[in-house]
Amino acid sequence: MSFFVNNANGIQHTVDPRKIEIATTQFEAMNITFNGMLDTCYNKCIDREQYNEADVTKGEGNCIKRCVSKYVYTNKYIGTYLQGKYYYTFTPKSILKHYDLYLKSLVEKK
Amino acid sequence: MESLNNKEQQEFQKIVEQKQMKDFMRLYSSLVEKCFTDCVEDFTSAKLSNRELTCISKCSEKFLKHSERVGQRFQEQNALMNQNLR
Repeated sequence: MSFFVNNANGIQHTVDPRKIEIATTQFEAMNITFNGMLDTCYNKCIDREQYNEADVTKGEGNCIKRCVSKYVYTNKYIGTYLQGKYYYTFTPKSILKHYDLYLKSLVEKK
Repeated sequence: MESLNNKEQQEFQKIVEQKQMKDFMRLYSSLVEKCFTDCVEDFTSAKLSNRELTCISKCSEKFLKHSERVGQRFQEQNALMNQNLR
């Protein structure tokens, strides 16, 4: 191999598509959660009747702090609760059955 | 629709599985959002009260059973439609 092809440290970087997929999934989980929280805590904490002030008021700020805390806790709690109670049914395959049914119907058509 | 060959089928199955995972995450996050919105009203504390926790448990269970029921009815309707097409 040519001296010029390797980089300075001689480390070859390869891309494992499976790792990228897992990282993407984790990123999306975080992103979706944040967006849900953003909307929900706005509706819960911000006075939408009258926009008297452009700043977040002291009361709104306190509410946001607690709302985020409770939201994060709710997220964890529901996961643990449903996993514990419906261990076999709280999976993508059992909740979203229509995916597999559709795939099965494709095979049967052949 | 034109039928897929084996290779295409495998490829398609992979795409569907990725979508399923993503959809499941979306479903979960919308479940959290719904139950939080409906059950948590008090922001004088940063911890969930027992009353809120009970509500969240029931809400999440109800959502799960609702999605089960919708899936079941959807399946029935699909079967009916396929029968009528034949």
